[in-house]
Amino acid sequence: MTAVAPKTASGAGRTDRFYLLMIVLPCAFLALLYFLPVLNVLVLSVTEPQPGIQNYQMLAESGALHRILLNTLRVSLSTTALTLLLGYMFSLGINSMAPRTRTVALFVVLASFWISALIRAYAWVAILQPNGLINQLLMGIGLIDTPLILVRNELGVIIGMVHYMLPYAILPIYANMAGIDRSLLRASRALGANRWRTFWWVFFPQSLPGLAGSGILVMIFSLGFYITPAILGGGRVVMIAEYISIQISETLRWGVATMLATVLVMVVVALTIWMSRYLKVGGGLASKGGKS
Amino acid sequence: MKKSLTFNGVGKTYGRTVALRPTDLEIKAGEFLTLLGPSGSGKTTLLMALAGFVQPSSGSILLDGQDITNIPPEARNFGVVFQGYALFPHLTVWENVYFPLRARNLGRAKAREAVDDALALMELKPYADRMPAALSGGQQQRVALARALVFKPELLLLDEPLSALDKSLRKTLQTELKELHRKVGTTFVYVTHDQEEALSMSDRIAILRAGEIQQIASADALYWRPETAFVAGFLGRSNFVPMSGATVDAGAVTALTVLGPIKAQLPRDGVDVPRDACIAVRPERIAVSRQEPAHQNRVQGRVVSLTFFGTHVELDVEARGTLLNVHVPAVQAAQEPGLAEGAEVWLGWDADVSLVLPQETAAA
Repeated sequence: MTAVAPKTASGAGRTDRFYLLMIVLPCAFLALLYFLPVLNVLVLSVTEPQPGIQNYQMLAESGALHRILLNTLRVSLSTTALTLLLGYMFSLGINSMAPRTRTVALFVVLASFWISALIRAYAWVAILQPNGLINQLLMGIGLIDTPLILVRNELGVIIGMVHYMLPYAILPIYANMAGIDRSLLRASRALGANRWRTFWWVFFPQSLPGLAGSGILVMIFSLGFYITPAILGGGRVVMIAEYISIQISETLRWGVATMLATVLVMVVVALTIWMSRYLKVGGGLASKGGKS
Repeated sequence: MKKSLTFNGVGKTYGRTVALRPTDLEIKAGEFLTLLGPSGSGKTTLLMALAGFVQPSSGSILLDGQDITNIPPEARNFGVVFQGYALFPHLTVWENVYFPLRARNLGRAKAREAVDDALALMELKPYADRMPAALSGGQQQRVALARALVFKPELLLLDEPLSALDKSLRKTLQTELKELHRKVGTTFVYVTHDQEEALSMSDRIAILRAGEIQQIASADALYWRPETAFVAGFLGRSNFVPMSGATVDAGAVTALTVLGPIKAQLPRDGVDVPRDACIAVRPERIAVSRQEPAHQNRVQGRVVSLTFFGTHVELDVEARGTLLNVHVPAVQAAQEPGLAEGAEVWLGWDADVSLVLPQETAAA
């Protein structure tokens, strides 16, 4: 026994080191290619064009910046609210489906991941534009005389963003719902609560963690949306990511761009910490940055 | 508060599967009725039909003569304790118990007394502000009971409430449940697959098998006067000896078996000897001795195995190619010299403990 024990211990140690290596390598990769550039951005924001916090002062003073930030916040909040509402309804639906139809429904949800944001945005332009599918249909059946303005405005941006975000909302909400013990719903009915009350008193409170998780995820993603608002907004609804891009590639004001990028990262990190503190749903969602 | 319940030909089929054959059942006001059967016997279907979660395919359920078959579960005013308790994990113990009163539109202040009484009845007062997850299994079970009783239901339905608990706790709670039934006086309908639970608590037991009630009677009546081989085998143990024929003379049956002619009885007056029948004898009703006994039925055999269980000794005796299980009180076995494996012994029992029972497939 004594002869064997050290051997197994060193064997376990070797396995431990192997797994440690598997973690260290990706971390090193991330540090080099992700955190260093982010750090660089942070440094640039206080050194470009000259050292100081003049870039951050702009945040307080510039009316144009205020408008951009307000746009971003408003569009993101509307997107999050709408996505959660639709995602919750959809999840409720698949949660009560028979297993086989549910598999099909979930497949449809996942299928939308296959199409890039760029193609989807252009597809939406085609559908929403004044002589697009929707307007032609509505005018064809005589519901409207003049085309509705559905694109190159905030509405178009929100439609495109909600569409993009829905799968991200549905999956955590549904995963949470699937974990709710159905016998609790029976118990509630047996104890005298009708279907409506059973939903609001028993089901809904327990589905909140999923809803909150999805909410953070969608909000974080939405704050950093770039392609969808750029195309569907047609330059009229400028959100922070597009503004940053313009500063980098056109006006070459890197100081302002990096300052805004830093602010965005800070907001996202703060949001993540705050929400995960209060709702205990940090985990896998906590470290996602915003893009698209 | 006490009401009687009647099942009139209540049956349930799922497609081609029969979960419950059309069943008649009378539940008396205030009784403790246990539905006992193996899984898939229809006992849970019966209970869920009663609770309103299963819509019967046929028949009707009457509460004091009023048809409640189509009334939704929330309007039935029955307390239900579910398997696994189904406590609401997002609510405290107090809020869990308050839930049914809230559903009856009682404000917190108005409900306080009733909730506190229910908690006191279950000795849960110190845990009122805990979350269910912070309680032991036994405590959770008591919360489920408090919650099911707080609104003074007309009927309390219990679906295998003790199955998740360990054995010693189960024993304690069996006693507590029986005590509780006496205290609150509500009709209890209890579902279990555990015969010990059924025997120790119930006023009456309904034994179900394959979607059908086989027999419904008090515990001792079921034990001593089973009417089918299944009941005799499911409740306690029985030796089954197949019959090849019988002669009946003024109620006394002489059955032809591999053990020779056996004097036996029918389970009750007025029934005929079934076509496919067997003789059932409880192991503890067979006497073992080295000398030929004076019993009405006697066979000679050889002890194949002998196991000591403290209170009794269990023997497997082979007689004419048939194994008979015999329980001898340990005190008596000690006074019987030479009772050991391989010993030649006499087995004896009387006609009144050998029952002629219909045999479908006798479960041992």
